Amino acid sequence: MISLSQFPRAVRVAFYLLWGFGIIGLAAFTAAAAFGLGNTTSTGWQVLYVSLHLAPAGLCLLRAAVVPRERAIWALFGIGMLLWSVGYAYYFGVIQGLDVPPYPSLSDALWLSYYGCVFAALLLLVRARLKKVRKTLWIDAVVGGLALAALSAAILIEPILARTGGRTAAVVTNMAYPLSDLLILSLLLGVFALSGWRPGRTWAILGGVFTFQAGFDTIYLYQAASGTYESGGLLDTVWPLAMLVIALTAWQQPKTREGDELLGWPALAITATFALVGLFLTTYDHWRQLPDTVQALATLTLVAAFVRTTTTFGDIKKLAHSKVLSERHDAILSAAGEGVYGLDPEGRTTFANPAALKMTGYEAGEVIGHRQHELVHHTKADGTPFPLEECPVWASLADGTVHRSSDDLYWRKDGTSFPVEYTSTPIFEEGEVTGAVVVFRDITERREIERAKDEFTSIVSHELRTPLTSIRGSLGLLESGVLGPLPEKGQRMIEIAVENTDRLVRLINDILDIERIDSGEVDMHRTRCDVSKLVESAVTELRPLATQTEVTLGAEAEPMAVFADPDRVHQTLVNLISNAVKFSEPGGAVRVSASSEDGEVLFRVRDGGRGIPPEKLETIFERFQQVDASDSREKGGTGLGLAICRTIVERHGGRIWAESELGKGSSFLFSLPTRARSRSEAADDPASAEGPAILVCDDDPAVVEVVSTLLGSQGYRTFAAHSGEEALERALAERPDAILLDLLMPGMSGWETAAALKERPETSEIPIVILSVFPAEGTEPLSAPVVDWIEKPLDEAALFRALDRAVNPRSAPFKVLIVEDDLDLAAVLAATFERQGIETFTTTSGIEAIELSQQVIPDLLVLDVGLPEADGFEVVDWLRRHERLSAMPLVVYTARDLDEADRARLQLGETTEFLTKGRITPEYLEHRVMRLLGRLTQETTAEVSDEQAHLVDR
Amino acid sequence: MSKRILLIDDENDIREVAGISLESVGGWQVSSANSGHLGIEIALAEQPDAILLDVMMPDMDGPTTFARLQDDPGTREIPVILLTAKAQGADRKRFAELGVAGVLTKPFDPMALPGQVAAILAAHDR
Repeated sequence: MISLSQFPRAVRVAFYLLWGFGIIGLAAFTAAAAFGLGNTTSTGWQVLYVSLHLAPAGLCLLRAAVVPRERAIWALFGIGMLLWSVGYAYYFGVIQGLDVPPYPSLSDALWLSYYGCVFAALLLLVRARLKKVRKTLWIDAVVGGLALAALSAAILIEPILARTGGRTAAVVTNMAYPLSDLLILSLLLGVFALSGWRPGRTWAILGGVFTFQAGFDTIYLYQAASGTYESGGLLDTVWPLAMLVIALTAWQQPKTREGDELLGWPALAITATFALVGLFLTTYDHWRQLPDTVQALATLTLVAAFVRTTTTFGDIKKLAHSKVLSERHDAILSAAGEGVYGLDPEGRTTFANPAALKMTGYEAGEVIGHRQHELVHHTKADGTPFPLEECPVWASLADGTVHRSSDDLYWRKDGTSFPVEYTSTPIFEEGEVTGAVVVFRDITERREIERAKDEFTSIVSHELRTPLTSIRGSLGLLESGVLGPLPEKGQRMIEIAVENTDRLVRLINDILDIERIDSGEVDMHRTRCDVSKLVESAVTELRPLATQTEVTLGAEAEPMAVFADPDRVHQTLVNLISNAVKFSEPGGAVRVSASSEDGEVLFRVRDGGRGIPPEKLETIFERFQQVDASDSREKGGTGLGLAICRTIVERHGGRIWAESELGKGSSFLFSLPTRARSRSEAADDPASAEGPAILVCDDDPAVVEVVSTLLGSQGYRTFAAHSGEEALERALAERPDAILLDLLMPGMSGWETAAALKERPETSEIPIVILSVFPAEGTEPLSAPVVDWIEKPLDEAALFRALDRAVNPRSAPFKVLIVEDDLDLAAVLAATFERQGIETFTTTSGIEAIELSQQVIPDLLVLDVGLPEADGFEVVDWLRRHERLSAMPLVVYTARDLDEADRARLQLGETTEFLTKGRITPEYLEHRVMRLLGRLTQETTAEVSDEQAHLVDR
Repeated sequence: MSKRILLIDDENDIREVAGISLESVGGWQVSSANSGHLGIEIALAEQPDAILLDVMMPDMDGPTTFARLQDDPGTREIPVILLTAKAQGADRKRFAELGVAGVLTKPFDPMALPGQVAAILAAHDR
């Protein structure tokens, strides 16, 4: 209720006066009509009756005058009510007195104008109160109303028409009243639906009022048509009552959005029921004349139409809502920078966002309905057609999972292509794939950046290598003495210069390395290294520099083992120590230490230099970061050293950090794991301290204990088994990473155990290393491949090598290079190896061998020394100087007898074997090669005969 | 009679050092050129037994020079060895596909260079 206190006194007085008059007047009239207290058709009562309508009219107009909000609405109501009362005045005053009252008359026009005003006012009210009414809803309201009208006309209006004789004007007038009511009711129904069937107070009251009024209008029409209407009766109270209620609504507090009150429903229900019952009773006579079926049908149709009209409003509201959502989604997709396609289960485009169209140069119309694969994804990068079945997008439609591609090609309409990465996500409805969404991105720029980076690195390294070539060349010539002798110290200086130039070259290679290590392309060649040796060699390397700068260099490291790539650790240590030396004052000291802590080895390089400010302790490990920009000039640093150290240490699963006190000095520390780690463990959790699990099986408990202790000291976990049966049990239970198996055991022998292990799927994949008093050759082979065969008494190094191989299996095939000028023999050897799944390369000359070795990096070399031009020796010389290949297993397979000097010259590392042609078979050669490669199988072991075993040159 | 080798490299110092290496250590007779153009001229005129060709040169680079040498029947048969600081795998593969007799990397060991050259040429001759 609008608060009246805000208005001037005059308004309040008028308000109360009008209400008073209205209520009292109506009460009086009602009483008179109900109880027959006076003739309500007399002029006095008629005047009262007419003026009775002025009260609500005045109230509405007053409200419109004093409350600016919704002014027009209530003014319309007021005016309409005024017209209604004027109509009555005219009717009573003029029409009634006529002999033949015209029908329709001016009064009818005035009364119908009331309805018109009401309809207009209601429309305005809807617009004011319900902000989101769609235009189509008006049509629906009208249609609904008309439908109701049409149906009800057939049943309710027909008798009225019959009685008026069919004159057009009369017919229209007769139709107009109920139609107006129906239209108003339809509008109100629509509003109810739009407000989610929770109309606020105003709508509820208005709904009740007009239903009420509609009902009684119909009753009135019937009575008028059948001549049973009595002026001044109770029926006449309906209209002023209705108007007073409307006036009441006028003085409700106006709201922009109606609230949650549920008043409407009960009021509406009661009123409607009342009106309908009244209607029915009045028209009952007519109803009874209709055939039963028609009655039933008519009722049902009416009810159905009623229900449908109301539900339509609900549907429309949902549609409107989903349209809003859809527009919002469109807005989001349109704004997205990535291309988005929607596909149906056949791969046809159902949707493409503006970014997708822009990137591919198509219009929406050209794309919708067509197969996306055929339009933009039809050809591979190499120009061959891209079959639909291979397309990941198709796969996601087929198997209902997300598929991605990080490097693919899309084709534009104009025939050009661009690199893309995309993700295809299937859409499900009730468990079925109903389409997919493909989101893609143009990665041209990213590719450019990657390429530019590669090119830059390549160019830079070239630029560095060029001057180094001259330096290295001239120094090398000087060193060699080919240009004449040098004084002793001069010679020594040149040697140092050459060494350091070589180191510089390696550094450049390492810079390239860091790029590749960082991106994961290069593997660390981890193996068991002696910490004290690593520290010693690094210190030795830097001693000249330290001496030169008058810095004392001290080292203390226990002989511990660490599992790492020795070259890289050396590189790290050298880096750190050289930094320390460079940043120390003359007379200062650098201390290098290594200690065991918590399953890791902690390396520490301490200097007494100027220190590092705390904010730089982290950033110095980044690339091209120096503590001070002037350092690069003075100290000759590149800014990459620490970054490389970090990359290396982190790839090992360790940590590196710096501690420092300004002015006092700095400590650089890094940790490396001591234990061997199986690949899966390293991948899962670099911080875990568990090594691979080895099952040691031997019936001699002393052996088991010794071996277990030995393995344990290197970080392996061990399980013991003293018999074949126990080994089997434990293998099944523990699933070790490898099994060390003795052969000669009571009960289940090693052979039987191996066979049993291979039979079970849970243990068949566990690699086996034989640990036996028997040598591999000449002993009955096992039924399954073993990784290696270690003879007792065992060689520690061999054991660890074998275990390392067992625990870290390689997936790529072995590569063997055969250098043999006898083509037939070469072919035979090649065939033998290829049977084992080894990639074989053959060459007939030493030079080719050198070249091929550089390209292929073989895992083993079979070398016939008796090559023309005696370059077998040269090959080995060259190999020895090659960083990676100098430790390659070498099998010297020659017809010649070799003397000591020859052998010394041909010895390449620890794993060089000498076999004499003509005395051994190719199969035996295969056996030895396989053994060196670490893959002994049944065939290779079996084909070895005792006789040949004795002919092994050692 | 000592064999003749033509060095083509835009870097003066490298030509000098490589030249001494090939001469003093390898016993070659050395000519040199500081550009691809000049190198082709000298090759046509002197008909060396081998050409040592730098890859990165301004104006006309090694591979282009090699292509020209191959085009001309007067120089087609002369074995060419590329000398390059670019030692990346992708680069090496590209060079190998060119059809040169061999590829050597910079920096080189001046004591080993003549042997490497000889080895490549020997393999090429077969």
